[in-house]
Amino acid sequence: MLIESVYNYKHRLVDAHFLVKIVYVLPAFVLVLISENTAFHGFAFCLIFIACKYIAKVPIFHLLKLFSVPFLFIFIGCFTLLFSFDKIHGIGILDDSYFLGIAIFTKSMALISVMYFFLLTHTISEISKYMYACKVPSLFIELFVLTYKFIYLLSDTAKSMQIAQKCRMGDQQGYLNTVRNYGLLFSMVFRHAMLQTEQLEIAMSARLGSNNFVFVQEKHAYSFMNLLAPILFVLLLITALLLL
Amino acid sequence: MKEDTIVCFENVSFSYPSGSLAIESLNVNLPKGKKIALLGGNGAGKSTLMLLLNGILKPSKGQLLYNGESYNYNAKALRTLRSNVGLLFPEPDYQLIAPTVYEEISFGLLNQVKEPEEIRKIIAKVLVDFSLVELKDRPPHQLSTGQKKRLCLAAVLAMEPELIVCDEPAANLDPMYADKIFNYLNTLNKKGKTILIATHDVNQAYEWADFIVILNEGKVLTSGGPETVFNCENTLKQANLKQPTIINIINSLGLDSVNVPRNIDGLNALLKGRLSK
Repeated sequence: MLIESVYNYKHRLVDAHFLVKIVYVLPAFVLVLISENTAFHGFAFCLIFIACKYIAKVPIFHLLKLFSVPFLFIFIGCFTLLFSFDKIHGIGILDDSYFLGIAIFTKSMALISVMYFFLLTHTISEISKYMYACKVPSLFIELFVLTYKFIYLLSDTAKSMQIAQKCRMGDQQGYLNTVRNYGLLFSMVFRHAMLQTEQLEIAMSARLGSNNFVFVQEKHAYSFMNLLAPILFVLLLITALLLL
Repeated sequence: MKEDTIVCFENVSFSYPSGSLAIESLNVNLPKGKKIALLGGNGAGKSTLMLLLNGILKPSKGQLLYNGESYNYNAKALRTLRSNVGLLFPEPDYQLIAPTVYEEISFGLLNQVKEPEEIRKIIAKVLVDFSLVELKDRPPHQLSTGQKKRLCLAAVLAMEPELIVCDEPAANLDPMYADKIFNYLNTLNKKGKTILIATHDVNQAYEWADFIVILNEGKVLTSGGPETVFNCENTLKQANLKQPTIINIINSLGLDSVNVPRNIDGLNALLKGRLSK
């Protein structure tokens, strides 16, 4: 499931200044990262999950689906950490590995939740704004924005080509032929991408563009009042870290 | 060149690097402040002509004049030209580049070297004019075809070009969205802008345009007012086109009307008038 398919463009922070948004995310990320307290990680996960529901306005069912993929990977990874092996005792679970597994699992899930909250409340433009603020070279930022655009263009092209191929029974001609057909499909998708790039360049030139992907973003005012909610959010996390 | 001409093609030819001659010794004057329809079959040279208008392509022979001045292809002159000649492509996905609707509109404006605050004011107005306020934070690829087309038009028109060139503006649109696009174009024309569209739809062109140019194999077959151009069936056939339905009906019924109606309402009124006599 793609983040974009569950992204709610009417979330509560849509008109918030990007600096206000980052006050939610950055301290939470740092606190989760430096803390070794599993109870705190659990609390942070729950709090941010609730924030994803009520601030990012994503339905619980979608959130559960979204979290299920990293959960599966992290769970399998941490589960293997639980087991130790030596020649005398064979396979077993040690106290240390048990606590390590739990610690890594809770920390990872808490970090994932922070990352999801970030992605569900920020547009690509805002992410690129942070990148500019962090002095990331503009070439990388343009590449980032372009990759984002082309992922969708290419996936749409691939879908249409695959349907066209299925209509001509391209997937029912034996395993080898199917593989060959998919090879041809991929080569056509990339050829199409080249054509699209050419067209895009022409369209950019028609609007006086060079090869720079520079845009103007909407201006959002911010005041101390706007910062109250994220500061309370962070204070709640700090209190939890101190108490738990 | 006439004074009321916005762009004049003087003996223009253009060949693609592959050697195919797309435009051959083309001479045509595009009248200022009019609604112009460029018609022709597939491969007639319509899209090439549009790219020539915007300075994306440079003629192999001949020259183009904008408001009486010859096209200059240096970077500075091209910027001025492209600010004055807005180009709308038929396929919106190849035109939309920004991550959000808001930024898409800002792209051309920012290239016109305007202050960000001034740009934001223009965008705010354009978003309202094109009913895109609700969609401003959306990525363009998530929009419907109609919305994408509307956004492309908004992004081009935000730059306030004098001549708006649209390649198949109603392609892939349902009749409601097509009407909306043509209503926008009509409003702009009333504000004094010259609009040129390339289309295969003779009915649309007959109803909408003030001036028709028919292309065939890179040459102008005929040009002039819609009543004159569409009356010549043989010329239309030569360009793989058909007569507009209204003219067809009038000719089939043997109705000789001084003022041939341009739309269905006009035809209805004419028929009712004849039946009541």
